[in-house]
Amino acid sequence: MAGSTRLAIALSALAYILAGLPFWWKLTEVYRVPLPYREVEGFVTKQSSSSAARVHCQLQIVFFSKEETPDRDAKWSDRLEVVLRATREWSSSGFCEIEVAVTLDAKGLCLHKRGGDRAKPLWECGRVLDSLHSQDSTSIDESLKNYIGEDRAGKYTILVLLDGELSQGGGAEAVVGKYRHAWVVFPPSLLGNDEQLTRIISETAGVLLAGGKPATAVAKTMPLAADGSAILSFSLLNADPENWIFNWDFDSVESQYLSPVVDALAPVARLSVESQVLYYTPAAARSQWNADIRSHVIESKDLSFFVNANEWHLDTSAAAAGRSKVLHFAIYVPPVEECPLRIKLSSGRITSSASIDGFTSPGWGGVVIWNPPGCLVADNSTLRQRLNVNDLKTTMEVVVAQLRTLFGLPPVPPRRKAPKLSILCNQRTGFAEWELDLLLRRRVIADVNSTASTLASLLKLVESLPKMVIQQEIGVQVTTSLEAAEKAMDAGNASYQVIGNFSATAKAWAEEAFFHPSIMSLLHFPKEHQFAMYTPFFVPVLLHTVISVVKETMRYARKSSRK
Amino acid sequence: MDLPFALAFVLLLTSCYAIDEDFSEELLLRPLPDGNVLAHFHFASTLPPVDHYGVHHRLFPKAIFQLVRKFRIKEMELSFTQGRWNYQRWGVGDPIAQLAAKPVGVELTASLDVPEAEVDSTWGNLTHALSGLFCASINFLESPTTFLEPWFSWRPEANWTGGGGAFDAPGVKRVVKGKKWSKSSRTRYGALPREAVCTENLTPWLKLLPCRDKAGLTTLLDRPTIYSGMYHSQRLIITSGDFDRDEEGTTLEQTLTVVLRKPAVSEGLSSKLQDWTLSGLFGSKLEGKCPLATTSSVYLELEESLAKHLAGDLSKETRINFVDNRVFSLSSAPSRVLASLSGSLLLEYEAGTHSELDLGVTWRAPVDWSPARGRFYTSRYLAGSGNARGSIVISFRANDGPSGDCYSPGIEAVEYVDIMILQMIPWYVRLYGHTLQVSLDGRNVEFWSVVRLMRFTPAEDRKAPAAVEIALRVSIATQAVTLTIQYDKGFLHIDEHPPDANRGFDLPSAVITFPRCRVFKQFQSDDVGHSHILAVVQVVDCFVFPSPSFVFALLLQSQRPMQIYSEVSLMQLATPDFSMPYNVITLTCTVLALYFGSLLNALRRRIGEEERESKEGKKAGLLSQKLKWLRNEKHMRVIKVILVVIIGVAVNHYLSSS
Repeated sequence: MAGSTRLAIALSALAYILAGLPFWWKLTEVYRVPLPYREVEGFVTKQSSSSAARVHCQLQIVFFSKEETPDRDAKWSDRLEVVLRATREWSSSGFCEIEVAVTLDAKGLCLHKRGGDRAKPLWECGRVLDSLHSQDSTSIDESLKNYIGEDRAGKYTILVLLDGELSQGGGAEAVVGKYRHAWVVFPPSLLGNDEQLTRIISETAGVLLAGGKPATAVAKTMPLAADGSAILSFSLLNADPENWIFNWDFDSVESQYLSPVVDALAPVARLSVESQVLYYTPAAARSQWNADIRSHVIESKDLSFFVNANEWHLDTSAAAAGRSKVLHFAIYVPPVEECPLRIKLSSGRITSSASIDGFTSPGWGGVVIWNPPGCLVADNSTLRQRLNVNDLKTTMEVVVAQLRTLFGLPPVPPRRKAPKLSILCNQRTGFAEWELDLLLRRRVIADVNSTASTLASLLKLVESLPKMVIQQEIGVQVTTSLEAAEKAMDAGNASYQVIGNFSATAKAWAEEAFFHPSIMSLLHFPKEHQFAMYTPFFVPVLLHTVISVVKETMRYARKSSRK
Repeated sequence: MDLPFALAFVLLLTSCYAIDEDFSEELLLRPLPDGNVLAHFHFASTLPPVDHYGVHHRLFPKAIFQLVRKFRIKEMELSFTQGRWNYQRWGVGDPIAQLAAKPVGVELTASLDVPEAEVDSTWGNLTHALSGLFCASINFLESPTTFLEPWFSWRPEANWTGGGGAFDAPGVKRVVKGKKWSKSSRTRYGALPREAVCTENLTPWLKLLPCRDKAGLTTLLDRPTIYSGMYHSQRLIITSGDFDRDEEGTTLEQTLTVVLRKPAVSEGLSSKLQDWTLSGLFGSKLEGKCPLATTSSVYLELEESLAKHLAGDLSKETRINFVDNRVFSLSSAPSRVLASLSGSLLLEYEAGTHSELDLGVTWRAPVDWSPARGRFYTSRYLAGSGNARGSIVISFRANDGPSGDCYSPGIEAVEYVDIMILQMIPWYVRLYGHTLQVSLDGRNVEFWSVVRLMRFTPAEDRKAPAAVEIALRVSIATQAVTLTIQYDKGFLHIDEHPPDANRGFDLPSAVITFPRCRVFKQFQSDDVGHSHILAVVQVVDCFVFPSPSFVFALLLQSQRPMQIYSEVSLMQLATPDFSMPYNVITLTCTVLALYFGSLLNALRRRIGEEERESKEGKKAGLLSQKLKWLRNEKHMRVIKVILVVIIGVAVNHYLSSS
């Protein structure tokens, strides 16, 4: 039929263009590695749903008595059951999956109660414990360490010593040691009071497993770089070297005070130490003379201005590559006009008359104000002095306390009155073994959380920018990170070290993928570019085609109607 | 060498490192013949070897120490320069000019103690670290097209001085092929002539000083003054012996040289010389010293040819009244006067002892003197026109007048001059080696009769620059030497052009070394103490380090081959029209659309039939009948309004979604 050929031509031209569109669209696509969207989503929901980590802890509570106990077996069995239940409440706060075993180890009596895994070996009854009488807490701690034997991360022991003579004043008393065990001195005469017994045991377990704080009260992040390292940068700030110039024997300070701390923290964080002495570094906050205590006093609300960013060139370390974390510890020596300088707390109390004050700033570090003893001034020449290890002993103790605060632990182990509970300090490193375990667990959780949020935001970003090239490398990094994070979450009974490695790997790779240079450089690619590229061709061609189709249709319709 | 001397030598070498950190600050002022004033600030921090002293310091900047450790820097020199050193007026052949004269922009030379395969990558990381430290784009030097490995010019082991050196060795091939010479060189040289220098580079530089700009000589550094001067060069020199010579520590020298414009014309002498004072130059007097500096002194240098005006023979004349004489008067008396053997004078003022120092010179008589100019006046320029080809010319013209303390030890009668040229040429300048020509006094001569040694590394496109090193030897009587080489200009990709492409491309300075010409000053024996030991170069090198009070004076004595930099040349390349890609797209699309449209029409339309139909069209067509109601004026208006609304909504939707 005449005319239909032309319509067919016009239609086929349009059809050709329409059929070609998907190919063209495909050709304009950029290379994007398929990312594991579903897996990441699953991981994020899984991680957010279970607030507690799946790191395992093992707690054994042993009632130890050299004598025969007055109570009967059945009574003990009930008592052990009560204790077992009471300790469970701490399992979520300590960031761990807890597994409790309770044992009575008395002369001629050995009873076990436990929840959880049956395969774990139980407390071995009947071993001889040397007399602990007339020993102080520190040496009791050491003797018990030898007695308990096995010592590994995640395994804790509470020894309830049913011995009236050990207790001072006849009451119950708990001590948490430097290692992974605590002991409760409980006079057998008080055994009737089950409530007191469970209370003191569960408090002790709470300290041992969670530092005595509920999980919600703990900061979510650790002051560490993505790879789990941080630099401790110490600066001695001579505010005004016209009056006095102090420098220090930092080599000895490092070997005596800092190296043990750094070594102890090695499972949690890789720390390195740097030092420098700076001059002409006045503080940015003004102080006021307080005649009563003959000191210059600085209000605690002014402390946020104390760090003088203009003059304190603390510098991030040139040696550290990439996204490193620096924790600054500034030892500030005030100028003569402001000596001695003290801090007035928000409660209105002015700090003690000691020559050292300090404060921390979360995530940044700490400042210690070191007032030269007696605020001596040489007559007309500048006083020069080199501070040795002894001069800096107190300062370094403050620094270690600040470091503890930065990592989310109390600056000094607290004491409690009721029930009577004390915590032994590790004099050498400042961190007890169980505290390190706790920090490691917190880090694992923080790492896994941050991995989840980093991966989620990375994928969100990738989705929102469909024209961004996603390189193969990013895909590999995301997968590696996700695998490691899942391993860290499901590690179960693996050793703490292994879990810590997995979580650190996960975080490091997630950050690596997020900060990949190819992503950074291609964040802006506006749609206008594409319009500018394609309109000069598509608009005229489509116009021709559409017009011809319309015209031919009209003509065809007219012709066929005429017939 | 006799035995006692040898013993002394050994003892000196073994006890050469200092036992404590040390910092010194010094300022040298020199009136220049054209009336301007040169101020050279020199700060030096020294550090004993790490093995003896550990890694914690009280004065040495942490950032620099970490750089040295991380990149295993043996030697490094970084300079930021603004303006051009005027060799003819301000001098060539004296140590200060040698220190001060640097090419415009940023220049970096580093010698690294890393395995040869890692040198380039370490250099790249170093440039990034420096770039962060000094807020400058030094990281552009990471690209292999911007740096090279010098074969001869920076080699401490190359023996330029006596006989038996590279020039004289009989068996040495003249054109050095392969890597024979570069075997152990871990030195890299790069320059960024475009880099602008400003206060943001000075502030981090000052941060490396223990007193920063809070006390001492640095308080004079008033930013507007030093940046409005005629020349400004800020340098950082690191030398570390921690990696090989374990008896030496690390030294950091920071120098800042400014040539300040002569003060506003005052009445008095008709001479071009103007009186000046410190407070007049810098806006403030010098108050006190940096309490951490061991040495804090100000020197006033009178060049040899100026000092001659004071007395005929300085070595005999000992009682010159420096405060008030027939040539000039000074505002305060120097604490000490050092005279070099060649006759220049150095008046020393201790900054700490004067509570307030306002050094000033008042000229009494019109004097005229000339600086030490060196043997040759050097310039480099581009010849030829157009965007296709041209040639690079380096010319040397003999200077008349004193040639300065150019000294050739070990050679009795100097009959010839050696010249070593290092030139880095970017890859887009394509050199033709065969067009390399030398002319002496205007006459072309056979190339190899003058050139003793040559290295010619051709460029690789987008990978490496061309490196040319040429060693010339010409007779002392030569008045002019000219080197030319022709080139074609290459084309760059559109994205390889810098933002202001029409400005042109900078050709880095040529570095010209006169290896036989050693620059140093020697002071009379009782001034420095043990001048006979200091005269021995090796010991001087060693002594510069431990004796803090004379760092500056001794630095002037150290021997170094004379080196000068040519001008930076600006080369125009064919600049593309940067909208070109889009123009090309538009044009191509239009042609294609045109082609497509006409093809479609040719397939579809029948002219005859359409004409017939248009005649018949008088009767209303089917479609027009159906759309008859459109003809109604009222309907049409409604439709127009709806169309406008739809378009508006669509545009709004698009804008809000994008």
